[in-house]
Parts: sequence; C-alpha cells; structure tokens
Amino acid sequence: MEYVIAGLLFLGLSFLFIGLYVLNKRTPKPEGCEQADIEECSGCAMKICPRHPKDQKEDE
Amino acid sequence: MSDIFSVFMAALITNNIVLTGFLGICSYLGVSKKTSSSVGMGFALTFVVFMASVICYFLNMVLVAANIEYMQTVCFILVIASLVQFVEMFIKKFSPSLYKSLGIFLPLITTNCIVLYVTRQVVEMDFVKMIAYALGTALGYFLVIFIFSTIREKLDSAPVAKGFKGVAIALLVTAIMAMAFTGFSGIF
Repeated sequence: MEYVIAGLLFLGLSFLFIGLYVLNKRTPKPEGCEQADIEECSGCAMKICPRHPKDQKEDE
Repeated sequence: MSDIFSVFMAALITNNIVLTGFLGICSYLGVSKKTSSSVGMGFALTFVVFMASVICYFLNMVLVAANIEYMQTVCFILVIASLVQFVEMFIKKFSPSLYKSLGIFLPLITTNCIVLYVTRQVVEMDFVKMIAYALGTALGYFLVIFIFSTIREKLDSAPVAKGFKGVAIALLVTAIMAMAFTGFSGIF
C-alpha cells in the first residue's frame, strides 16, 4: 500500500511539473520582453551559457 | 522570541549558507558580476526558498504519515521545479517589469542547491523556527551576493594581475569574506 501511495505521489507531482512547464511555455512573454532574457543576461559570467553576451566572448 | 531571533541571525550571518555552508557557489559566482543582477537573483531566490520551505514542510507531514519518508528528495525536487515554473508564469503574466528584471534568473533557481538544502533541513523544525531559518538562509545568500557584486564591480577597474583576473580574484575575495564572517561566530 505504501508503494502505491509513493507511486501515486510521484506521478502526481511529475504531472504537476509537466503541466506547469507546458503552461509556462505557452504563456506569451510581455511586450518588449521577447528578446529581454538574452539582452538582460549581460551580468552573467557563465561562459558555457549559450546566451553568454557576445562582447564577453570577443574579449576572450 | 529570542530563540527565533537567534535562529534567524545564525542562518543570516554566523552560519551563512554561501560562506560557511559552501552552497549556491555556482550562481553566486556566475550572477554577481553586476549589482542589478545579484539583487534580482537574491529576491527571486528568497521568494522561492520561502515558498518551497513552507510547501515541503507540510508535504513532509504527509510523507511521514504515509510512512514513505524515502520519497522526500524526489518529491521536494519536483515541488521546487514546479514552484519555479509557476512563479515564472505568474510573473510573466502579471508583472512584465518584474519579469524583465528577473526572468532569466528564475530557471537558474531550480538547480540551486540552497533551495533543496533548506527544504531538507526545515522538516525537523517547528513551524515558526522553520520560517525564521528559511528566511534567514535566503537573506544570507542575498546579503553575501550583493556585497560580493559590489566588490566585483570595483575589481573590474582595479589593477589586478593577469593571472588573477576573473574567477581567481573572485574566489580570493570570497575566501576573505568567509574569514570576515567567521568573526561573527559565537554571537548568535
């Protein structure tokens, strides 16, 4: 019985995450923010990040 | 009351999650290049840690009642990931200006080990102490990343030796900050 509850809980939370992920992807970004996540990423120093700003890459 | 205050201040300063616990170093080093970025990350993490702690606290009661405590890690990770998705969706829809400043940082919080660590720690505490500890830890991260970002901005224009530029000097600064924070030990 415990394993059934554990399985149901795991499946329930997994579906919750998948559902929220899909809803999040479908939610349109606000106006003017379509490219914002890339343009606003200039503070990030993670060079392996695919959104690493070009000016930092040129400095290398 | 003094007990709660001690828990909060210990989590904030004495047992700072970054400088003493060595957690969240990846985002701490990666997002602290600009002060504005660090403030955004601090706010976002504080909110997620607080909400995740409360949700996981009550979820743990369910796990204990059902005698399935071994599901703790998996369930907590799913809760944290779901919460971050929900928060991002909510901010995207209802606060475009906040999304513009925080949007990129929210997905980074899912993989931040501080969130999982705090949720694992708070299940042993009573409710009020849990709130104090979760807030103290998250604000401790916020405090340290903000201080560190202000120092890093100054370092950009400082005459740093070539071999020490970038992450090397950042880690040295972090080590000095950690030593400074050990001066608070014994106070709380």
